[in-house]
Amino acid sequence: MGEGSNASNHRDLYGFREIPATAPSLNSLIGEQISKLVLFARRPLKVLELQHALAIQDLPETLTPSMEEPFNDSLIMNMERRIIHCGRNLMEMRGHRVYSHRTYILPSI
Amino acid sequence: MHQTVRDFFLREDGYVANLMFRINEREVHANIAASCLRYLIFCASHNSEQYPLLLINSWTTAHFEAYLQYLDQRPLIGYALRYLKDHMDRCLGAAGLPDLVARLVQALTPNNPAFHLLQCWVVSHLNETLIPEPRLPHSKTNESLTVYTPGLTPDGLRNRWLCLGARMGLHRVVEALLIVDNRINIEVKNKDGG
Repeated sequence: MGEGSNASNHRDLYGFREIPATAPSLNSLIGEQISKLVLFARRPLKVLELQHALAIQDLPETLTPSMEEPFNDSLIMNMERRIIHCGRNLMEMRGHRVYSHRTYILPSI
Repeated sequence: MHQTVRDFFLREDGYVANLMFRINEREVHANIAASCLRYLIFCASHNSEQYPLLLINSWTTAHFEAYLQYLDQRPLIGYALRYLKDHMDRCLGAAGLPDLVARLVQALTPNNPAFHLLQCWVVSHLNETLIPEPRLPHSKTNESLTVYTPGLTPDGLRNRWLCLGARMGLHRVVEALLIVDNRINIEVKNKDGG
């Protein structure tokens, strides 16, 4: 690859800076939470486990028995679709478990 | 990966370094550990409300079944019980976790069914001890209450949970029961052996 192409690559990459730094969308926040859970769980999580892990993170700091309803309300419906949408091409589901393409993302871990 | 791309991603003060997806491994383990503890506290709190005054010695089969059904609706319990210690070991000294552990121990009062399930687990995974139920004092007025009910020793209770859970086909519950009591040396397999 020549010097000209290199300069062009730099321009393309730094063009990302032009993306407006608006507040992250709900999907990107959920995507971030899902990524962290899937990447660092000690075994591949099942879809239902992931759904409950996300819901418990949504509850307030003080947990009381009256949290049962808010907890159920926090459970994301259509969890499989949300994982596919938020996880983009970095995650996949096999047999109700969620896997990350960890080797491509974090080769040093 | 082209060198320019690599530079772009790895530059310490660059755009990528400040993105929300930057991951601090220790922090993530602390968050997962906190989620596990919060989940266990949440489940334990629910139980103590459902069965506030009923000592487990007087539970009927229906009580046991209702409680096991509840546990089966909480699919993260097995993961939390099995891997909480792993996550905590990877973020030693993380703020907030000791407080959550204390809150879990506090929630596990003797009249809470989770107390009986987690007695061994709390010792082996959290290095804590649950305060056992005080024996009723002997006196003439409550003599009938002080009689120790046989058949509900810790082992007897554990076997009762396990038998009912297996009979009801609640594999998640059976798995969790096997995790909390490491004296049982069997494997849970599905019909395909997986």
